[in-house]
Amino acid sequence: MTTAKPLPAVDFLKIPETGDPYLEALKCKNCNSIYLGARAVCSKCGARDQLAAYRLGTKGKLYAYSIVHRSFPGVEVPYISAIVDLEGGGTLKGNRSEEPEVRHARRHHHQGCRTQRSGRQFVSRVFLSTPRCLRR
Amino acid sequence: MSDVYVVGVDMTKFQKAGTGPNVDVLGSIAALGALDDCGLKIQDMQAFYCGNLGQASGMVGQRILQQIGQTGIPVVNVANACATGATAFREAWTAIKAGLYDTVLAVGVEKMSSGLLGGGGGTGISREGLMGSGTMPAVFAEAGMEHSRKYGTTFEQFAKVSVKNHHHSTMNPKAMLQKEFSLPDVMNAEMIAYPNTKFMCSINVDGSAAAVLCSEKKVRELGLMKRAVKIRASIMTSDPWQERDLVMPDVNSCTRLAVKQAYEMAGIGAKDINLIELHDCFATAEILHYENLGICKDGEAGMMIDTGAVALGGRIPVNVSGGLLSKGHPLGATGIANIYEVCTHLRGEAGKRQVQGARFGMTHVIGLGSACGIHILEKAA
Repeated sequence: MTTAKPLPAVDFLKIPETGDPYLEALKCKNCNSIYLGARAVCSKCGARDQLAAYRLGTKGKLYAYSIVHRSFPGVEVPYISAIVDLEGGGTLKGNRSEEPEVRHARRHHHQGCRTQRSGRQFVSRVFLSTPRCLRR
Repeated sequence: MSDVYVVGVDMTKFQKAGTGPNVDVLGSIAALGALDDCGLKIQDMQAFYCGNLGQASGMVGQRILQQIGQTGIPVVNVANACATGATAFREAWTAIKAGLYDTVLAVGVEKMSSGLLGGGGGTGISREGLMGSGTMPAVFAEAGMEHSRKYGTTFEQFAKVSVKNHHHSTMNPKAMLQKEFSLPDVMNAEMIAYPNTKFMCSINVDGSAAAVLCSEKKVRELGLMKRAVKIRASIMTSDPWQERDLVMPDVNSCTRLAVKQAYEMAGIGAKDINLIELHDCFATAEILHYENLGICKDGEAGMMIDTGAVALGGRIPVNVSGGLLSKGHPLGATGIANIYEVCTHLRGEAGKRQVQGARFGMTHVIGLGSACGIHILEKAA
């Protein structure tokens, strides 16, 4: 019996045949804006055909967060919903794995975090380590 | 272009989600109330703009006319997230401004279910709790924490917004809740998404609000100027590009863009506004909008709530209706319910919660995604 290859939880998470999964955004060659997910035109400057694949960094700083205590049925709480500005550009939202005590979200990345009822596995990412995010 | 006036306005008493009548009946109650408020009939209306979100493809406007009179007038059904009601109202205003009609009806109506909003969408695996939260309490908590990061705003200051608005609602018989909550009550309530506790989240309710708009010529012809309210500005914006807006919906930029245009259109400034009904979908959101709407400088919002400047009797009372936090938030109706509240004060008919001497009032809503609707209203007579 073979196990089906896990799918990315979002389309900007790429799973290569070998090596670690990584996050790939689009970057506008005209204004350097960064986008998660597919689009044809830069929504900042309106440039067409100027968006190129851009590999996102794996380190960043926490920008804002909330500690979520109530969610939908089946979602384990509490958890930290974190917004992280990445080194090299781009901002991600994700779960953070630890209490908010360290300044830097050191690394985001892949974990086989959730399995659908069908048994299909999805790969996602999580922020490791963390911030005293409201202290400057 | 003609000036445009509100001549009739009404809202239903907001009630617990799921307990109201069907959406067409609910909408008809406010529509008839607004018509009765100015002594007109549905036969006097030349067009009808209807805002509803939950049944956006359900021809709600036409179904309301089936309840109150099928006169054959054009009906436009609109949906624009939580700015739906304001959008319907603005479309009515636009149509009169354009000279198409002299008398137009606008209705916002919503039947809701209880529980969390947001967090859905997409295909494949649910991202909720896997890649942060898309629930509305969390999204607006994060927006509040951004403010906290910049200016040191505290959990207690956010909570004070809820205390204030719940206090205001004790004077509003049409509010869903009319109950005081102390600061400890609010801060010790169930935490939903830090820093928003349960009492810092707006209440899902069933409700409807309606307004009858007229051209100046028609107001004078009908002799309705005495209780009429002049629409000095009607503005809608969408969210301009911001670097984080793919993961952090931006309610600030579209509000600032809209209010700048609104003050320009009205020819007045923030210092002239006597009361504001703003989009306090969560307590954190209200704090942001003190600065966004220009009633204080950036970084002063915490001081505004601490000093009581935004409470009834303060320098610029905000959400004297009880706001979405206590009056309730029937999504598609909220934009016109805000209009009702401000008109009631400008007419001097707000009873115990009356903002004395009110001449100018502002309404503000945000539909996340985002749409911002701002109206500035003036006492006409």
